[in-house]
Amino acid sequence: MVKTQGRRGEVALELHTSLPDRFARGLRLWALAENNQRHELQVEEIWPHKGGAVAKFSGIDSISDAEALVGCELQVPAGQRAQLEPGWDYISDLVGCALVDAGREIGKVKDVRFSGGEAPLLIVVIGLAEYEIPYAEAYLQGVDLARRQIRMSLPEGMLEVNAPLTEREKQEQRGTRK
Amino acid sequence: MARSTKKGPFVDGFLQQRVEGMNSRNEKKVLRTWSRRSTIIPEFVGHTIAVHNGKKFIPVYITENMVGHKLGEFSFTRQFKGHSMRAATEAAVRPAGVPGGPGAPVPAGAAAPAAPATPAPKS
Repeated sequence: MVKTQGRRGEVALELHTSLPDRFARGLRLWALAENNQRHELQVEEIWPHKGGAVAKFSGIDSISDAEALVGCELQVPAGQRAQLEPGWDYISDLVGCALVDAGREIGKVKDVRFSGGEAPLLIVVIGLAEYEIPYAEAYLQGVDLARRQIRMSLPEGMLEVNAPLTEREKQEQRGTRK
Repeated sequence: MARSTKKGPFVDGFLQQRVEGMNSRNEKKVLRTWSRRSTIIPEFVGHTIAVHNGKKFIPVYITENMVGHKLGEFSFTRQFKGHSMRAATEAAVRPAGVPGGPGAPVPAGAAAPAAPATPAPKS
């Protein structure tokens, strides 16, 4: 919740969900305050606004009531998350999974980052180093969330992306290669 | 001003040769390049090209929707750290290249989908 909005206790929301349509009247949410206190809220009204949303919660009827909510995170229990279509996975489920390449565990997924490309990048920690691996269907063999495993078949050179340069690459970098 | 269509897209010769060589051998290998100025051509689709961002190489998986763009557009030189969230967010991902997902081939005559697409909840 970013700031108060309007005079009747509405608050402006910054959305961090891939499913903004699930917010509807009557939805019960938990507000986590900065002091780690949680309290339950019920959505009375919600509408989209400037890339985010504005919400009015039951029992929050004045600006001063709404000010107490600013800075809180709105949460749903993990069990009440929306079901995704096949092929989609929650980033929070992928984080912590082991990455298995050709039957061998090579590291753990630390984060998922969206770069400029269409394939999200899995940030995988292998030893002390971090590697970025495109989450592409061409390399993905399966995701087993029960065993916390992502099975992939990585192409040659994926884990040597930042290895020392070869003589040919040095020539290319200098622009002398014809 | 747009580049003259008479000239065709610009691709650094050494990069194009290496990709065409891999295509002829039916090989998939990550290529490292500094050539951010090269245009992505259809021969690049399905390859992963590690594009230098000035500090390190960022692997970019090439899909059909990226054809016509420059390689440098997909390897950011700056990083936005974003707003930290203490709890897990409800954000979802799908691997690139699956039917209906980001980077999937588009049937002829259909409009290219915006990527990344937003998943719809099961009803």
